[in-house]
Amino acid sequence: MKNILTIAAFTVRELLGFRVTRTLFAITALLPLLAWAFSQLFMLEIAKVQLDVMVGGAYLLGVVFLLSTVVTLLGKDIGEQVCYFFLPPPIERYSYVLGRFLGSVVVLTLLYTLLLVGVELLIWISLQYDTSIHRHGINWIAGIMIGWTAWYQTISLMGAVFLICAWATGVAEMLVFSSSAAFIYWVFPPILAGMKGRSDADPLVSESLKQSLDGLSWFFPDMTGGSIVLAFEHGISISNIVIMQHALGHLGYTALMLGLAIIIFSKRSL
Amino acid sequence: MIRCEEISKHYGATVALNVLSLHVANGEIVGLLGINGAGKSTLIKLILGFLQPDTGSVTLDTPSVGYMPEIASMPETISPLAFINLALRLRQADNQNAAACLTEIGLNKQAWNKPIRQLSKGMRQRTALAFALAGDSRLLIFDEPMSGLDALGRLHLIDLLSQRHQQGATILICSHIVPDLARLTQRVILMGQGQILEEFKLLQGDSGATERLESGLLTRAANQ
Repeated sequence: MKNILTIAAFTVRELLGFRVTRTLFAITALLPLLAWAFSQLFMLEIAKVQLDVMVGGAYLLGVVFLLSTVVTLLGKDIGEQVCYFFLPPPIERYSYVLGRFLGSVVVLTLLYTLLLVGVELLIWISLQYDTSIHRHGINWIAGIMIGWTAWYQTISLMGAVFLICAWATGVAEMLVFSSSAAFIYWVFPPILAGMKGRSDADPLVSESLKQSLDGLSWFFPDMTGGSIVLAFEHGISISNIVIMQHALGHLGYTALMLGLAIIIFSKRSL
Repeated sequence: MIRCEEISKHYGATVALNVLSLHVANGEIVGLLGINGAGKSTLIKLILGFLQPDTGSVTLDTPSVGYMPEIASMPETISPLAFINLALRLRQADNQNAAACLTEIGLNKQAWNKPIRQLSKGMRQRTALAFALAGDSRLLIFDEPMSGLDALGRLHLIDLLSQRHQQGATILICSHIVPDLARLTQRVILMGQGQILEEFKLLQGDSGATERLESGLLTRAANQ
């Protein structure tokens, strides 16, 4: 455990030293300003527009963080053999994977904490100064939900990135596969859901194809945290069980990806 | 300390190691010599567990290993001081001081807190050496530790490794620089085509060691 924490602390330091990480922090700090400027194009419910921009920004930041910093870190570690310094005895390979993962999660958490401050600032300004028509249904919990859902969804994707990097070779290969995974995760499940939900086509689709589509959807985490946030933004009540199920589903998915990453990385040649 | 029993390693059709056995006793200082592609680096990677042998087994009798890889890519955004602190923590040597490790290896104090990416090749090499030496591991493995060092740095390193050897460390060193191996080691293993071609036992103050090793390298390895 001590080695995992040591590598995690080192990873935090290393990632915070990346120029791209510092740029992401700067962008995150400026995001509320962008959201505010964009919202001025609208006539009603301006606060919701601002929060929608923050939701989109949060998801985009998560993906950019993974591709530009985490993949670069692991790519250099494995492709350029920086990991040779970490892995001679007594360090077990699982300590290295878990340490790198934990460190990356800490930096992501710092990034989203900054984002959360920005979101809450926008909500506070709206509650203080906007007319009720502009801030209908808005409360500070919506801001927390933006940061929370974006955080655990990005961590799911981070688990997948670790799995990809555990077997891929070199930064370029890791980047291509991780970008593809990020794209597929966001795009494919809604398409699957759309295909299953079409009542006009339903009678024409065979049972075996429906089951195959259901089976395929198990490979992807449920990236629909945005709809939970949307419910909060619009004052629509949503069950705590649904929220917990969504979060726990992601936790389980992350654990599965990380477990597979450890198994594969423990067996690979370096 | 190191026991390799009949290990073989193939990369596709290429034979990197061919049924090789090597024993290194506690407190020994052993050199690996051979032309490029002889299998030296593969042997070291197998000893460290970075690669798995196709056949045979490798056993290490030590809780921790200090290792310096041949091409030392390091975490670029970190300072040498933070990097050595990592080595000390991972090797449970919290009583040691990173600054003392960097002083010992002769890294200029002005470079201690700079990001590693800003250091010259020689300074990076010194940082990688300090990483391997930090924590007083009982087994030290070096892959081309002299490359990138100036003449003074080489002499300093030979002196440092001799001191560590006298303190009881076991050292395995792979180098192309024959006089350094002759000066530093007790036994040199000449490798070629994944096999041990010859072993040279060297005595302290052996004035003809360099010539014997060079002659062995020319006759045995060049014929491979």
